Amino acid sequence: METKKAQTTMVLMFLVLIIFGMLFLFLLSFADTFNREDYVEQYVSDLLLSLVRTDTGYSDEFCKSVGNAMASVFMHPSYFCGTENCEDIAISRVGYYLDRFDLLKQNFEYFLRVEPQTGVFRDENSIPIEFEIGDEAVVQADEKFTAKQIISQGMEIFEATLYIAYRD
Amino acid sequence: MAASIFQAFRIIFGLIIAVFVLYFFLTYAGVYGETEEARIQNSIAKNFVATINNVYQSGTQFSFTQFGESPLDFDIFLDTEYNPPIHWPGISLGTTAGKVTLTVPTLLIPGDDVVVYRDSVNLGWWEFYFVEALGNTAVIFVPLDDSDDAIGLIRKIVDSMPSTEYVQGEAPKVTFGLCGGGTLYYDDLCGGRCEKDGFNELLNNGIGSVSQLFSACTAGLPANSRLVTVSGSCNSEDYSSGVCIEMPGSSGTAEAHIKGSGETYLCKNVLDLLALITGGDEQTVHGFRGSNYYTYVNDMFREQVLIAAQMMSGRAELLAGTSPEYSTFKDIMDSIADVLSEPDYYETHSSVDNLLGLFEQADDVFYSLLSQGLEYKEYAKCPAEIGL
Amino acid sequence: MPSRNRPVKARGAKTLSGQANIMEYVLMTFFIFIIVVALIIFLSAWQVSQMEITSLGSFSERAIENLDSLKSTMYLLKGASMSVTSMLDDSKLTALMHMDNLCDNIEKLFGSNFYFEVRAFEYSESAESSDKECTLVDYLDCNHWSFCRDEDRPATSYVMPVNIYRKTLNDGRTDIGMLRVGVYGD
Repeated sequence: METKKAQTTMVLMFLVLIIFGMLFLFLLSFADTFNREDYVEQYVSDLLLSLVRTDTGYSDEFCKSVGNAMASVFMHPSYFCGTENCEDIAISRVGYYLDRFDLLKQNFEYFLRVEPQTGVFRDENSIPIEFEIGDEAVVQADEKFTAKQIISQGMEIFEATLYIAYRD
Repeated sequence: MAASIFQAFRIIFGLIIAVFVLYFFLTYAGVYGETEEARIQNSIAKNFVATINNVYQSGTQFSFTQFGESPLDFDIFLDTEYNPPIHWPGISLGTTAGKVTLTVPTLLIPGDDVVVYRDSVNLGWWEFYFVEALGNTAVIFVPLDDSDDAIGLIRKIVDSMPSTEYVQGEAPKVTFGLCGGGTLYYDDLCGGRCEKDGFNELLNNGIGSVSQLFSACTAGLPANSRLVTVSGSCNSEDYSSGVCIEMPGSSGTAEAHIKGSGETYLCKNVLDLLALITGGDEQTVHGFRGSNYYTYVNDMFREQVLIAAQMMSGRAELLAGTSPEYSTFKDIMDSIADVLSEPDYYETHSSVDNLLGLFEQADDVFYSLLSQGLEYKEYAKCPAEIGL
Repeated sequence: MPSRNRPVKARGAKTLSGQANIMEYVLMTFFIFIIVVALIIFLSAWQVSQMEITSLGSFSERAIENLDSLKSTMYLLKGASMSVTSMLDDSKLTALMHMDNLCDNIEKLFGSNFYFEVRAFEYSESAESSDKECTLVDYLDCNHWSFCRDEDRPATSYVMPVNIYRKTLNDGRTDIGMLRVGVYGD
């Protein structure tokens, strides 16, 4: 009698397990095949590439494009294009353009850093020059997206890195 | 006694149930097996389409080896009629789950392993890209004379095919050879089989000294080969199979023939030649495969370049204020669009010669605009070589 | 004398117990049978739905595929090369937008049932920028190109950042903007 009870219980448990398992697989099969992460990765990469290539409005070679302005922050820190210096030009353009992209503005925080690939550039007080825009906490976020872009100016090479993380 | 009858009953009952369960499992396995096979085929076909598209966009050569993993064959359907949204002109791969169509211009020689390579017809102001997807192929040339023109034509064909010297392993390889009379020069022509770079070097060094050449090929051919005879004039007895190409005249157009077909094919660029060569003389339900490929590439060329010409005409009108040459360029674009509006533009000498002349004019004007700094450095493949 | 407390088993009770035994086995094997059949049915249904999803593709996938094609097609790109992607040419955009049989041509080149549009962002001190559709006359001052957009049809759309090269009289200017592709859902 006990054996029969045990056997029946086993069969019932097995039945229930199978039903739940199949239901789970059945529902899982409706999960979208589209991977949003891949889309956001591509988006960030294209965003940084496009940003760096965009013209600032000045025809001066040191700040013609946003990429030029970023590089000039290190190479020509005291240079002025018109009434703005290169750093101001870079910061204003980056902030303005990144604000135009709804996906970024509504869902993400960003942090942009530009640094020389090799060596250090120093200002007149021998302090290393840095160029960073945005919220640095993004770099420490668990789930973030990163894009890198090379900027070359003359013989120098700089690397721009854009980090974005979901807004809390 | 009762106990043993009961035991016997249990055994028999158990056997009956086991048979039932086994029957259902086997039936299901059959169904499951079929759907799984269809999924694998579909997956391979989709991966192939993705590879073709990647190579088309990036220009990076790639070896696709998944066909060897599927024990099933693919059918090639060539829809040369364009009836959206039902048909796309192009090569389709038929699988159990349906047809998958290649939407970029592709010339396909099937095989277990296929090398995917991009080439183009450069017009200066436009570049018509196309993809070659070739399994193991041996292209055997039969020059019937030793002229520079013949060697030049052979070199153009070889240059437009992929280099497989650096492909690791046995396949896929695109190899080249020569044939004359009863002698086949293939297995040992370059200290082994010739691939693109080796064969080009051979042509540069001159093949005049290779004995037995310059007569019609009667030798046995290797597997997966394409015979290409190059001659001043193609008579039926000059070639035993494959394609025969008459050397281009001053117009830049060559006439070509497929063995067994009475038609003459006008070839205005290397793409036309490749279509005939890769398609070959195999007979299909739709006619000779080479003929099908020829019609297909000309249709694709027409569709894409027509739209391009119309767009560039509109663009030239927008930019006319910067230089009077844009007006000239616009007129040429309109003339090109007129020629390409005819679906059979590629079938008559007058139409093809006219088109090549217009392409030359367009290239000249565009090169002038480029030299004046009015056009972009991204057009820097100007001036282009028009015709053969 | 034997106790009469021992429970009395009727003679037929032994048979009944045997029949109950058989019945238990029958019921158990029946349940197992049900489980196996249910397993088969669920697996088949799952396979079929997987096949359907794979073959149909999602609207999102289609939109992303079109985005990839459009940002590297010579019909929109600056120049005649596909190597410098995401750099669109405003004169090509404008010329294409005003072509005869635009949507038929777009369908031939890129497929059916979708639209795309390009918007350029110009740096301005004021926060808002205006939306100006490009015509054949003012294409240097405009910032919006639209191709086969039907406002009445629902669509799934995705955006990608791009550059747009604005050809001026003597030189050019590179703007940043966005390329939107929408796949119609009906």
